[in-house]
Amino acid sequence: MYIRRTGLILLLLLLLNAGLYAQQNKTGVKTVLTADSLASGNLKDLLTSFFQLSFTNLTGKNRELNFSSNPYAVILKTNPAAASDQQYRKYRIHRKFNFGFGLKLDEDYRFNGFSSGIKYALINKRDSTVSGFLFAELGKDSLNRELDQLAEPVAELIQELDKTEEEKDKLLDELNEVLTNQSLAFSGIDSSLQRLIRQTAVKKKLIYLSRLLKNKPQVILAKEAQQPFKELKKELQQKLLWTVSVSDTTYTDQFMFSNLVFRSDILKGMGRSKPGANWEFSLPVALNLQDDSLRAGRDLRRSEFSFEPGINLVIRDRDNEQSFLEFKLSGGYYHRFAGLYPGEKKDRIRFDGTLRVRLIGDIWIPLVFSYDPKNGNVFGFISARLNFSGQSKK
Amino acid sequence: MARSKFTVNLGNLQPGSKEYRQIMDAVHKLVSKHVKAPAQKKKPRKSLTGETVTLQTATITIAVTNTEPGMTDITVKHGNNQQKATESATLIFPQVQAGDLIFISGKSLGNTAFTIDIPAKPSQKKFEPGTFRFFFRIL
Repeated sequence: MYIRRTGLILLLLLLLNAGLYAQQNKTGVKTVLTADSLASGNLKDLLTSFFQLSFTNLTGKNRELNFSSNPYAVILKTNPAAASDQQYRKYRIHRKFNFGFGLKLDEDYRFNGFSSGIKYALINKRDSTVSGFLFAELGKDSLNRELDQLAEPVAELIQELDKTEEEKDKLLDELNEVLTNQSLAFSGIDSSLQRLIRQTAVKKKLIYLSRLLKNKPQVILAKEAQQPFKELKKELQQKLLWTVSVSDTTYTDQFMFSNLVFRSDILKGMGRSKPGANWEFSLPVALNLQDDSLRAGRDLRRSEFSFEPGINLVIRDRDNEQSFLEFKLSGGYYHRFAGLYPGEKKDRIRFDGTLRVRLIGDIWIPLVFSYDPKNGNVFGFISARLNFSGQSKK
Repeated sequence: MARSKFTVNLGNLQPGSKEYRQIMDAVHKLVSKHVKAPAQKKKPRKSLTGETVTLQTATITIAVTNTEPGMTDITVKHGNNQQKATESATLIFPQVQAGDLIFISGKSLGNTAFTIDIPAKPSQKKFEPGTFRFFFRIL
């Protein structure tokens, strides 16, 4: 029943999503792409960039409304000066933290306890703002190296031209524009300036640039020069992210833990990043301490270890590289150390499938299917994740 | 009175053309060794109204955000005066005059904003993370 209902909802969401994407392309709306917007939904579930609102298990018995955020992003909202590079370093630890709290609700939406948690990124090689790899590789490409050698000699040539000061100043300003304007094509600038740039490129033996200007005169130099950076950032999305966390849930009538979870998550891209799709490997390991309800009083004697390795297929829009559909397959091994209930097995396995659909912007709808091979049961539940960016996208 | 020439009295000596050339070469060599020409002053540009433009000091402020110090590498060049910055900084360039160009190039993993405190075109420039290059044209 659940499967049929969730399947119907998913189908509607997919249709809606496809419609929204088609509409975006039709109207030619250009979205500003950042490392954050290009991140996969799986990554955002693991480490939130500003804050995330999630409605988990919308169709199940144990519904949850969660809020998670990043302390640095909250500081940044109240103190924009925290973005300066000196301050950015000062808040390094804050940037690696996520905190969250939530409300648990039963199927009649009645309060069923509080939850809270903190998460810390032990290793985050995906952060494009402090990546040593990215910084070392940036600017090493032929175009950027050659463009750095172009401005000064061309400006000198302009100043030596037999023209009025006003005409020379106009050409100098146009040279500045072609170096910085992300929408000005080389073929759109003054023909005498085009000639000077071509001559300088040949004279200075700037081979890549000479060929580019000859074969593709409509090139937008400022935009083309940013292309290698975008490629490097894509490669970064394949790097390692390792987080550790602790989370808890309280009783409905008392502020005391009924559940405590210690967790480690590893996320790593697999193979080379290709346009259109890439694979991610995830490795969550957790220790869950729960109240043993068969014993009198309240305790955390029921303990379970879980290990849920999985692979995530991220499908991206070829035009803007934003992921819009993800499918994760994972297996789960569970071992209960203590607090076994009568008839309960000490060890069990389960298979899960998660389909994440980007509805629009940073709103994700994950649909989780679980299969218990022992009982042959399949069940599913649907959730919603709303991610918000802490930094201005301008 | 400017003294740019001097005369040597050779008395009764009457050198042939070859000796004369040798004496002249020796004199020129000696003079160039001991007398150095004064450095030529840069001709000040005149504004559109014909007023002489004076030398000024340009202060360029670099503000880097959303990255850590060291994740930025910027070179600012005015003539032979070249300065570098690897984080937010204020760079000072003396003896700048109208018509001069101050070249800037570099890379950063954060957002970078440049401003100059004297009249220039552009007077400020902002860049997204990545590489960049441009110049201030002093007005």
